[in-house]
Amino acid sequence: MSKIRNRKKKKLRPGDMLASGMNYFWLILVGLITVIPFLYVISMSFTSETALGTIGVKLIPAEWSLEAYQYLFQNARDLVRAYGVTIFVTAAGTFLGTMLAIFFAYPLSKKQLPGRNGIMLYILFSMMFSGGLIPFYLVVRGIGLGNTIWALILPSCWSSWNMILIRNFFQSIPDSLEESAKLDGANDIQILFCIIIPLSKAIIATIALYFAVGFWNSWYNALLFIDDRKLQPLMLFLKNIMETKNVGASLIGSSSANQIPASEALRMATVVVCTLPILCVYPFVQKYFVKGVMVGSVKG
Amino acid sequence: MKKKKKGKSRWQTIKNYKYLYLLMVPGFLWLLVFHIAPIFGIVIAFQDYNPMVGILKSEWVGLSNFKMLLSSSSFLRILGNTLKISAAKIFIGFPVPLILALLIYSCRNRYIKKIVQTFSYLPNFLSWVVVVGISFTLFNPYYGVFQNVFTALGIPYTDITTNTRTFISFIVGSSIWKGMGMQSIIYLAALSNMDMEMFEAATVDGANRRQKLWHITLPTIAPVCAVVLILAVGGLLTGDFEQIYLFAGENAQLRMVSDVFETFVYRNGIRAAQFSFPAAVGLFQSVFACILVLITNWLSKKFGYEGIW
Repeated sequence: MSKIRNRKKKKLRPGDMLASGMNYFWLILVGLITVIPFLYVISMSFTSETALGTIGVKLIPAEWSLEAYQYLFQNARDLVRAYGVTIFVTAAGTFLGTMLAIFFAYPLSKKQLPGRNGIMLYILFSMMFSGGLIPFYLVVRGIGLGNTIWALILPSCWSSWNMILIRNFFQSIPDSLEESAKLDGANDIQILFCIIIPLSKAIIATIALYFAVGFWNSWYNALLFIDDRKLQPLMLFLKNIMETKNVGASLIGSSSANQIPASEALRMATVVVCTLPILCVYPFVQKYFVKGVMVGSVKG
Repeated sequence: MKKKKKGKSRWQTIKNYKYLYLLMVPGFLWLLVFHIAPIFGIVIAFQDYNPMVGILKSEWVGLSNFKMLLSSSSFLRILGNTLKISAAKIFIGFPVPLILALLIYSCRNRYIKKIVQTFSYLPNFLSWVVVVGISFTLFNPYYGVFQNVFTALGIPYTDITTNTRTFISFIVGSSIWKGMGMQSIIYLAALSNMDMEMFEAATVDGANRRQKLWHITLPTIAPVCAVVLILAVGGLLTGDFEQIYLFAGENAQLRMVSDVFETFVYRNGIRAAQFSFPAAVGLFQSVFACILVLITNWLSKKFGYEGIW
């Protein structure tokens, strides 16, 4: 690290100056490209509908207004229900998925476990080959999960990829820690809960975040297995709102056949309300996140 | 005698690990129900499956579903669309996160680095529902932001979201926007493990920036690139359902360029409640993808990089 600092203090040659100028230019461009759509969405959600029609979309609202949010919260029964479904699915799914991955990864991290290679081979096979959508659909419906909230949770709470990341992390923990615990008379399950898990907070936070994001954003399983509107998760609700109004400018102002009036600001306000929670979680886990991916992705 | 002893000790080791095996039971159950059972369910691709009578009593039809698949006019179109979209995603989408990682790695300003990293990871946390919804709004031909920009520049603007000619670029562009930050992390991990002394030595020997990039940096991350590429090829035929289904919707005109295996199976299988023929399509897709991974892995090893196993 000190070497890098020393080099930084050295006087830069013109070629280096040009290179780092280009570097800043491209990086700032990437930053702007990723962040500007977010700003537009937020701005639109706070702009009054009439201003959107006459002045158009601006980065800073031309005419501030909370009417979209007011309308959204006044007619929030469906939204609140969808929120409830998604929160339950995300919490239960993240917990189950992370536990399943930890319990499977810990034995696999033991090099001397009989049958380990065979199991790993099977996991690799499962990542490459699957029965496809139709048999999967028939199995989930067949075991009676159709039209229940568990259809949103159980089929997605396994990820071989996440399990392998955790296993790689567990393998990087020195064996000597476990051996000393064993000498003190701890069994494997005690070792897992009292030593391994507390040492692996970074990777567990990362995997939990992956699961949480996946569950929060999922709608495909709901599309396949949920017929009851009461069990609709947030993203399916959002998808319906987006699609009923994807009709173009002609519909703006005049209310469509749907109960919710067609309105860009309202759509964007719904986007904000549906996305904000998962974006808010991210800064808290970010410090674990990059670290976890970096250690986990080293091949073991 | 010796053999018997060995067998006994093996049984003893397995017994020693009984808690560990116990821990794996939930995972095994999951795999059994949601992965192995559907694999056996593939048999319906060889049947004329009737949900009313079940798998055991449905009529066996041999390979006729596959014959129907190969002779159907939509098959070539779907295969072509799938390969075209995935190839465009790999060729254009693969270098972008790599370049972004190199840019972030070589950035000297800590704040710009941090801010750009945080921003570029954000889109990955959005659902495709949100990304597609926002795109439709921003690219809307009547009031979208880009329409304003184009009119200001004096270029006529047409709706590129529903145009068959711009569809693929739109798909590729949106998936790059969503994924580049997250995908750059794995390269950054490889870069941060790089040996700094090699750089010092190269500088002493008078190597310039391009030479260092070409002869030190890129060879260091080449194995990671190989793994990422193998996985990308494995996903060549899958993984686009959400994005494509949302972008193309029920637009019959777009279907000519947008229909891929997964949307085809969904529409003809789940929607139409016709299971056997779509299951055959799905099986073809799975086997084809598996063969592609095996080939890429073999090629990667042949060129001296590590495979994924």
